[in-house]
Amino acid sequence: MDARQAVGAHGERVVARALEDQGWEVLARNWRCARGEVDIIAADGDTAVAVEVKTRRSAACGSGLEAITPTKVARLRMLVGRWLAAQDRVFAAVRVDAVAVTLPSSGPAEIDHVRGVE
Amino acid sequence: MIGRTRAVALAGLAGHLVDVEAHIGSALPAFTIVGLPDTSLSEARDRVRAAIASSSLAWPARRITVNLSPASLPKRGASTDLAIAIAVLAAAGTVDAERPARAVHLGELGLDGRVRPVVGVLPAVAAAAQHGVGAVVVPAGNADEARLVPGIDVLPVATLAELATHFGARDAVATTTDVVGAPVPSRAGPISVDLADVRGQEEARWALEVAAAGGHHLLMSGPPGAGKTMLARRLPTILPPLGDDDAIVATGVHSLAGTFDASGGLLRTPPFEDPHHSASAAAIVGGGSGLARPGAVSRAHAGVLFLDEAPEFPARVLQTLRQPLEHGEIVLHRAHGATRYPARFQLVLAANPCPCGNFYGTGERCICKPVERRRYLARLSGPLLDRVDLQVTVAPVAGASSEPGEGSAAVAARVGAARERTRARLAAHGWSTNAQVSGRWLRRETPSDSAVTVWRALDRGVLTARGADRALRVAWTIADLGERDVPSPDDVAQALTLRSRGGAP
Repeated sequence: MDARQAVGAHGERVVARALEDQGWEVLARNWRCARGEVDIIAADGDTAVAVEVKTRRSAACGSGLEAITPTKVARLRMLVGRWLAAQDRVFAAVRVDAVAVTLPSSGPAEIDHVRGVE
Repeated sequence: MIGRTRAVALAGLAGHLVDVEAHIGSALPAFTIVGLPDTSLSEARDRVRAAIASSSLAWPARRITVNLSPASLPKRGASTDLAIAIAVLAAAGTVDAERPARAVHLGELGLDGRVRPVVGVLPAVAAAAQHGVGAVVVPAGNADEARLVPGIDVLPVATLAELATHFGARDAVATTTDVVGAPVPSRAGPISVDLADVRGQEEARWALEVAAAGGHHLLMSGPPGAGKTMLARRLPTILPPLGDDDAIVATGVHSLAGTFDASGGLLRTPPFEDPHHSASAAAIVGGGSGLARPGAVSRAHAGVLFLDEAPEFPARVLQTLRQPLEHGEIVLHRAHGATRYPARFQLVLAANPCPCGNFYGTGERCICKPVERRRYLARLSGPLLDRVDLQVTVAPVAGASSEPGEGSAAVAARVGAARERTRARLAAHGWSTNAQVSGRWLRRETPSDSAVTVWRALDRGVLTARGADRALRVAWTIADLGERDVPSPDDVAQALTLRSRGGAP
């Protein structure tokens, strides 16, 4: 695992913990199938949420959210559908969220959570 | 999460208040501007974003929608950049939401966060004041121009950071503090010329003085080198300075055309426009895609429009002058709507007597065929010349007359006094110059013993009915210059000589 991947993995851990602190139930981390990978799949009440995490070490190049393209969102929708089909639990709704994590050199990580990206 | 500011959209000289709303929605970062923006306004997206980043302010990483309301009114140009930037910052909570909402913001943003000057600040600020807006934010380079409008607070800003700090942003830092000045138009104005430069030419000088006093349109025909252009350029120096209303309108037009230097205050010298005869109809009357920009007739509003070598202008271009001559304004219809500009100018035409230019005196040096000569001036005739009260021949200066002529100041004093007499007499009718007077008034008010020569010429058929009206109109101006209450028979006789181009009535 190189430094870049390590930063990404750390960001995902930070987000998973934060989601659980909010009372979400993290159902899968780095779930993958032939068509791709979802960073986090969690249950927000009775809604299944596919969470895409983007981690940055500074805000110099803009928010990580800007790196999430419409194509990426479309793929996440498709993947969360595949994940639903591969398990038995029933959900009332399905959603895709995006979370940007900024890890400054000192101090706590900053989390920017956008619910229900289109 | 909604920020509001205001801006002004100009359609011609008329300004409409535009509400600029920015909404920050919970969605992936995006930035859209809706509400009929044109291309340059749509590009505000990139300018605003770069300017906010350059000011060390945070760009909200969310979906930002900017709406320019009323949504049906077309908006154009970069002057809404500043309003959009402040609306976005207000929506993000970076600046106070209340204070910017009440003010009108004008200004284009540079990528470095500087606020650049824009055109049309004077009409835009005037429109804001008219709509009861209390404060307007303008680029520092346009401060002089904006302050010409009474009854509104002007806040000049040099950078976006400066304005954001004013509205309560913390941490806003300008990358540069250089003020972008307004571009000062380099135009050879007619200010440095004087009527004293013209040697001899007593008759033509007299015609020019009568034209100035009565606001009459003037045609000078004569061979090349006789001094037609020289005389025409000096007409603004003997015209009275613009009154307040005219000055504001004329300054507004020049502000919009980008030909106005605000450091000297409102435009008080009558403007002088001399388009070249290769000018297109759009250049003369105004044009451009979408909504039209003012042309030469509007820049000459309250001043002089000089067409040198008038017969060389394409007939189509000359025909476009008829509407402004008749109505004092021009309405330009384009795909995105009609634009109305003021265009009440004094027309001065200069023409050679024939294509080769030498048909004067006995005409022996002229090499043109008679048919060519006839056709040449016939290009001007018809509806256009019908409206030209003074039509004089300018002969070449004979001999070396070295006596300097009378200076502009002395002539201007007489012109001013004559205009005052005219105004006092015509005020009740809503006219201000003799050129505007109706034929009915002329026929009723001119003493019959003075007008008798005109009626006789009309009976003999050497004068048309409209020609008779023109002669009487000029006679009243001559009487005003001579400080007589009504035209004397002499005044009428003189008026007849001032419209005898080559003997043609």
